[in-house]
Amino acid sequence: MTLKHSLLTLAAAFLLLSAAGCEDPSNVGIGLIDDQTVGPETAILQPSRFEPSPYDDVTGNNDRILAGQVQDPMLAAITAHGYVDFALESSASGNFRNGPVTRAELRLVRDYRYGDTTGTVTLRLRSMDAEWDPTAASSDTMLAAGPAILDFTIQARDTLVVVRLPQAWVTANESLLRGESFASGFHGFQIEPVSGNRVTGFRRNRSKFRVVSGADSTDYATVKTFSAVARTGEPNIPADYVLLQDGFSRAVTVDFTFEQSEALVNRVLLRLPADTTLLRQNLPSGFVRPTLREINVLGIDDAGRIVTNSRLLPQLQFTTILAADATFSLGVPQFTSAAAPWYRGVGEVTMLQVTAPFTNTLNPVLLRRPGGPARAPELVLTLTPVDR
Amino acid sequence: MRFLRFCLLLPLLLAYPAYGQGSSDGSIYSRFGLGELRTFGSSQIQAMGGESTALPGVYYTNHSNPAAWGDLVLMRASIGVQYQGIVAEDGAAQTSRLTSGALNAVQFSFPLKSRKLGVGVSFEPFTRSNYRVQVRGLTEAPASPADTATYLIDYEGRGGLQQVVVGAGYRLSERFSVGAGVNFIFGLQEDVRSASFPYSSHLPSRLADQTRLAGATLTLGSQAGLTEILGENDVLSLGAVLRLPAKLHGSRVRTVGQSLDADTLGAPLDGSATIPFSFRLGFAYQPDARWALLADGRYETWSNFESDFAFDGYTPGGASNFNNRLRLSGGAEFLPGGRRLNQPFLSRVAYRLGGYYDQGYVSPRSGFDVNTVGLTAGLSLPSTFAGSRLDLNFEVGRRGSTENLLVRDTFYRISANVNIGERWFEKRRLR
Repeated sequence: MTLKHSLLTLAAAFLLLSAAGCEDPSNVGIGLIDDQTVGPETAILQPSRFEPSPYDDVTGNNDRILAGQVQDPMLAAITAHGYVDFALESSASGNFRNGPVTRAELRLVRDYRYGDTTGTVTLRLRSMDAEWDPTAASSDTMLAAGPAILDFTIQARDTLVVVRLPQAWVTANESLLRGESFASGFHGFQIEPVSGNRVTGFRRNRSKFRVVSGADSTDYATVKTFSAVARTGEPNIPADYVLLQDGFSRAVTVDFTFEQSEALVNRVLLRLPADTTLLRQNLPSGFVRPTLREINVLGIDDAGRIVTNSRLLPQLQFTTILAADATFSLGVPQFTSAAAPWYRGVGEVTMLQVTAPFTNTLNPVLLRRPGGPARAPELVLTLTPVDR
Repeated sequence: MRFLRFCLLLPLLLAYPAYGQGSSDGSIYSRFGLGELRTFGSSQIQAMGGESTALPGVYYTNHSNPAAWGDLVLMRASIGVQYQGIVAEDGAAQTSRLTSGALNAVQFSFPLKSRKLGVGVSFEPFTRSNYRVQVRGLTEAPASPADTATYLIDYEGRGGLQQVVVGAGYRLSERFSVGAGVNFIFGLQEDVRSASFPYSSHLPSRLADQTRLAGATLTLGSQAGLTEILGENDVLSLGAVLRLPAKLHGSRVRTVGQSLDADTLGAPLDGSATIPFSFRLGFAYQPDARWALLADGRYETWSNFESDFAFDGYTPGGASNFNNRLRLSGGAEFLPGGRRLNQPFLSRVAYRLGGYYDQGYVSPRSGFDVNTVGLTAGLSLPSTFAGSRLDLNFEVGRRGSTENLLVRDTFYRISANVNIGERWFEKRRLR
């Protein structure tokens, strides 16, 4: 055997040894450690705070426009004003540009109803006289509208509502409708409730403003939308519930008191039991009240501001849906990662805020308060203690 | 020369991954104290009980005793690796099988003046921590049984202390040598506790205590050789080595998470740990060139161990399960052909046998010592390159017992070592 062979043998042996590892680890010897450490634990906390709180429910530039009024036997009177603005595409034909304008109509595609689904609803179309900004506009914002153009009705079964604007309005606005100054001179419409007992939602991207000019027709694109929602009176709900209703600038603030601990967080599971049966009981015939089946959970700071990014910590913003057991459960690993700094008191998140999603409906849900005899909201923590 | 450079670079190439490799699995007892204590004088000594302060070297440099460096004739380099398998058994007859690979040592020595003054350098493990134990459990959620979760905890130990010894030996007379070496001791020991769950909804967690220590101490050694004790060509060597206490300074950091994503938990804790003195005494008897017999004893006062850091088995200012360590060993070598090079291959193979008893320096449970007994054996294969050998060593032993909640390790070790010898600083003569 040469020395070179010996070295090669050794190198080969070393490579084999490098791969050597555990064959069959087990708990043999754990008795020597067991009394010094403990394993993960489950802690279940009830909220120290669970109450409605102000929140900016942004309805500006949403995919849906709400309009109408409803007298909800449980949730009081609700009115919704819809706002919509359009833009004339620069690719409009020469024929169209030369006119004359012979017809203008608003084509609204219904995709949502709340309230009486059997009767007729009357809405009023008003022009908007001034520029308005839907960006970040919350549902409690009120915008001033101009004079009424016409009233129109929606039958119970209508899915496409065609609102033909009066010839007088068309004539008065003809040059504006086909001219270059449309963008600066036209500010859209307000849809105001007049009568009926239903709020209707119209799909933004399928609703059009169609103008016929010079034998050509053009569909103006929707560029701005907004819905203002207001409630008159107080909802009549049981005391052990908190109402969370989409479209209203109210959220539910949830806080928990954590023991000061450096434990490692393996799981954070938020459970918010809801009641959906109460919302379905004693409804008038033909009355529809869709239930909110999706909620957002956000991390907020002491001042109630949503923490969007906190010292490179993951943002705490998650969506969860209502499960078959009538509970919103949020326990995905990403939520645990984002909530762990909150548990440890690191970063700016100090509380959670539960809100409706950015879907622009009036859907309500009743969230059970803590302290009652029934299952309460809770935070289930799986923690690994640090102390040895 | 190219070959020599290759030989010198190889240990460095091999040493680096071996140094970093600490994730393999070994004895649960390496969790306690500073870990499992390691020694490696040479591959020859490893096969003869593991210790010898007195053995003079012909084919090997004895790095156990700095005085032996005064005996050097050839430049010598050696490197070796070891494979270890353990079957651990507890009182309930449960067993686990664990394996690991590790570096024995990288050693280098050369004479400044043949058989008068020599220098030695070695890099070898001082302690090693490489345990792994798993336990399964259930989180308790009495108020909500649905929230009970099963988990698996892994307790793992990695790393340990390394030492670099640099020193010189001087032969005062034909019969007496002295030597001294500086031991630079340093390393990182990591104790990890990981929790994992069989659900995608639960995140695993990892908590690691990393203890970094470094310091230096001095090793003093002497060797005396007596001839014609029982026969005409016999040699009796006596050796003694004293390693002074070493105060290692360092810090302990607790981290959460994995490697680069790990967050430090709390402020690092600075402190020190004092390794006690070690005294070794031994003899080696060589009746002729074919036989070598040796016996050694080591005593270390670990009951005086002091540290600002808590270790399993030791609480600063509190309870300590550290005991004084006694290690006794003996062995024999048979080289049928003696030093004659013109013998058949098998006559130039060295056959070695040894055994040892090691009284553990730390107990997991107060009052219950963890002792080790082992048998060693080895084959030393000659190479065509004069002065160089490939050694294959074997070791089997038992540590601890299955009583009193302890664990009995039955271990076996196989190691391969390459030893190279070459003449240096020799003036070539023109004829």
